[in-house]
Amino acid sequence: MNEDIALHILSLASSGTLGTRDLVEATGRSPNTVVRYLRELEARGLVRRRPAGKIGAGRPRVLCEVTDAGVGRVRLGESGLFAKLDRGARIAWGPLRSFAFWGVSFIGWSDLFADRPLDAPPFEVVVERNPALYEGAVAADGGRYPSLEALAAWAAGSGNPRFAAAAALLLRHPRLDPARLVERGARFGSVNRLGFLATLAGATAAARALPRKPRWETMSSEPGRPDPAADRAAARWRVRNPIPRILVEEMRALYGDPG
Amino acid sequence: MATPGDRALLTVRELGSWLDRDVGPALREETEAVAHGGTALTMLRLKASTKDVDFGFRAGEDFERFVAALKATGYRVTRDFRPNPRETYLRLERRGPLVSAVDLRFPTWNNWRLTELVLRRARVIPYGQVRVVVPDRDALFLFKTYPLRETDLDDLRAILRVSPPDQARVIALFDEQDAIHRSELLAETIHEPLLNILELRVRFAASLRLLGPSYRRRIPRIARRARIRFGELQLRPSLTDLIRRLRTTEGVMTWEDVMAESGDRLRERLTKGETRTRARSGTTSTRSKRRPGRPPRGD
Repeated sequence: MNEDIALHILSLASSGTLGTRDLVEATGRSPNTVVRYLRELEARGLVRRRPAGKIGAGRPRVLCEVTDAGVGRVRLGESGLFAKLDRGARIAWGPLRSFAFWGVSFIGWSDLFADRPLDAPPFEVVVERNPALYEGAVAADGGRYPSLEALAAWAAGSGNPRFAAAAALLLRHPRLDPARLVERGARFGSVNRLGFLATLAGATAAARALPRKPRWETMSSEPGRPDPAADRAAARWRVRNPIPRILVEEMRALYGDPG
Repeated sequence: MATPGDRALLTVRELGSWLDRDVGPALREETEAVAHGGTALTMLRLKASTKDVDFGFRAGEDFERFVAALKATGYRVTRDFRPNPRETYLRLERRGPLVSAVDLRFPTWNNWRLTELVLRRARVIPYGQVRVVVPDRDALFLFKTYPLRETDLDDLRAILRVSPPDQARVIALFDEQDAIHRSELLAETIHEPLLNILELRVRFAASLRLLGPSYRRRIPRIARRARIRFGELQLRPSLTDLIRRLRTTEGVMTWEDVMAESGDRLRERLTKGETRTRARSGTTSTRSKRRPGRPPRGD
């Protein structure tokens, strides 16, 4: 059994409610291969089959559920793969894992930042070539997480409204180093967006430290709903298409304040 | 906020554990919840992540039991309103490391009805006392052609990249929903079915327009059907204008203005089409007639 294929199947099965047909589609392998691997993984106690119910007539699907031992194997395999990939590219755990690490949990699956496109199933690979993301990373969980400041600076400029709102929360984190935030913000070209997010989140230390740049920055691809408070802050920080304040407030309500 | 290492990435597996070990024991009996939005897409691995958990309900008792169970496990209601006259929307939140926000809607979700056709290909997964119904990719794709938010459009694009929908099925599902609303034009209802038809058709067409040409080309049949259904309405405002209005009013659209601009002919036309359809076949087929040679207005 090829361990990379086994890890791919295990990882997919652990991050969704998938049946054999779904796994065939997701892996791009032949049905025979997937069935053979599933049998082997089941024999090793890493996967168990579970019949799903059905509404209406027809044969119900059988879902492949990863056992606790299977999840342990996935985590171990991910760390192993991280070490392997680390030899050929600059990498760090991806945005979802990193946000969770720094305190903002999304529901999703393992991802990876890499400075070049990588074929690295089971990871969702986010290509970020800026070395500022990888410098000063924190070693943990068999890999490395981008520093708090690098993650916030990246997310502020990511164009993803949820990541930007999560970055606003990180700006209130007690471990945030304002001087390093300014430096990373400058390297990502997201100083104004960070300043805007800091204002929305009430992160005064970060807001004070960030120097407003003359060049306008764009936060989202589309203009959002008119929001006087966010629009005022956006105008002050020279940010186009800002995220609405409500997004940041929701995040704060859910994840709380630092400390 | 947690310190590094306190929290791990939540996967669908943790979501299952939460239902099984946290919510399930607080339920008196088996309860059905239909996964919606980002939750369902993440469960089918069509979307990388979701922040909150979305469930819809087909039965009032299930909805009430689920709300009571969440309250019993420390969640509190932070939003309670009606997105439309028929639909109840509740958001419950609990500060904590696992599931922080849960959105619940009953009996519809953004106006979509959970019919047998919609749920025919759904998978039903038991987590303790909770029976989670996960609709199939095609139903989820259709359901996402409603809110017009950038995040929802991104979800549609993600589905098209990962696993493009079955166009015939999406069209059949849309036509079924449209037919349900049109059949209500002739019935005694407390709500205005015409508004639902407008919402449904305009949002469907708007979503397809906003997807952009490269994504639209991957689903030409769906795009064409959306265009035709919108054209049949013969509205005075253009689709571009309606998209602008819908997106700036964040869903609180005053359709009465649009209807006033388009006159009562719209109702008459849709009702007539429905009457004709019923008389012809006794079914609720949605095919309505457009006068030949007359291009649809408003786009």
